[in-house]
Amino acid sequence: MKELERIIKQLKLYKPEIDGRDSLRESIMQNIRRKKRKINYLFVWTEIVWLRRSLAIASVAIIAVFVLQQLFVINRIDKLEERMVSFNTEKILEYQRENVILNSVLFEEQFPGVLTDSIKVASEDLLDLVRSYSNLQNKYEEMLGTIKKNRSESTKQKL
Amino acid sequence: MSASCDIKKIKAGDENEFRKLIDANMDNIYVTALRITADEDDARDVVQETFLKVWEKRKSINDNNCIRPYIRRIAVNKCYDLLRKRKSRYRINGIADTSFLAEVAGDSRADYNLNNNEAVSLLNALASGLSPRQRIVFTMVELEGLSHDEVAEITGMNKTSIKSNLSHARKKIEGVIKQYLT
Repeated sequence: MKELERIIKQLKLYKPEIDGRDSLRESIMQNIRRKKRKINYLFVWTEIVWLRRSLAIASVAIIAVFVLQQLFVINRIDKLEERMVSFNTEKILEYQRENVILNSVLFEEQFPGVLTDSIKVASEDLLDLVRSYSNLQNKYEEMLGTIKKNRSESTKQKL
Repeated sequence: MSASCDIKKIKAGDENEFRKLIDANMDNIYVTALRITADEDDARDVVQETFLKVWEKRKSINDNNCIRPYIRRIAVNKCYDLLRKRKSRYRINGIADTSFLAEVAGDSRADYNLNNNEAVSLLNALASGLSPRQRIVFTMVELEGLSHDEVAEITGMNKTSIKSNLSHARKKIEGVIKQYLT
């Protein structure tokens, strides 16, 4: 468009001059002096380069320590959770074994003739009995293990 | 121009050297600001605020060579802020006396010289519908004659954005001219 080009040309040729050039410059200088007088004592320390840099480094270090600490805490929580899971599994297994024994004692169809004498036993007493039976069985298994171990050692000595 | 003043002295806080820097760059900044803002008072404000900011940030200036683009960048950013703040006002001012537009646009008088009021009215009329970015890009490229790379460096915009803003600005201005000429 020719009209646009002509207008652009005219505007390019137009070089305005500032009215009161000196007064504008002096007003800038006055503002600078005014600003110089207004020292902000609260943030004056930001002008000290080494202090600014060291504070920046310190802030980065604090953030890094915080992140590491968080990672460490998360790791510890994970480990504790794993432990809790294994502990619960052991408990459940023990409970299941007790139940199996208890059921086998209580239900006549599994062991016919066991309850024919009709002795009344409290369920808590029965549970105690089952637990002590379970402990006894564990100890028996341990003892068997020890005997086996002793036997193998004595065989070795003989050889 | 900027070689006439010592940046090291300015960095150290030498006011006389800074005065020299103002003298060397004031006119260019004023012309750019006036072309962008289309308002003499605003252009003066931009000049003032620009040099105040240069003084505040003088310690970050590296050498004499980069001082001019640095000042220009600050000035353009100041203009952009001002345009965004006073967007509505410019839209109202855009409806100005442009009876001379036909004379400027016509080929009958190639030697037509714009006076201050005419130039400001013309800039206002042409740029009234432009966004601040379009206004800045149009001024930088078409009136200041800067390359797209230079505009990108000053404004921080990418080249694609500059091209599209320029194209939109030209279309809008052509529309305005048509409207005034018919």
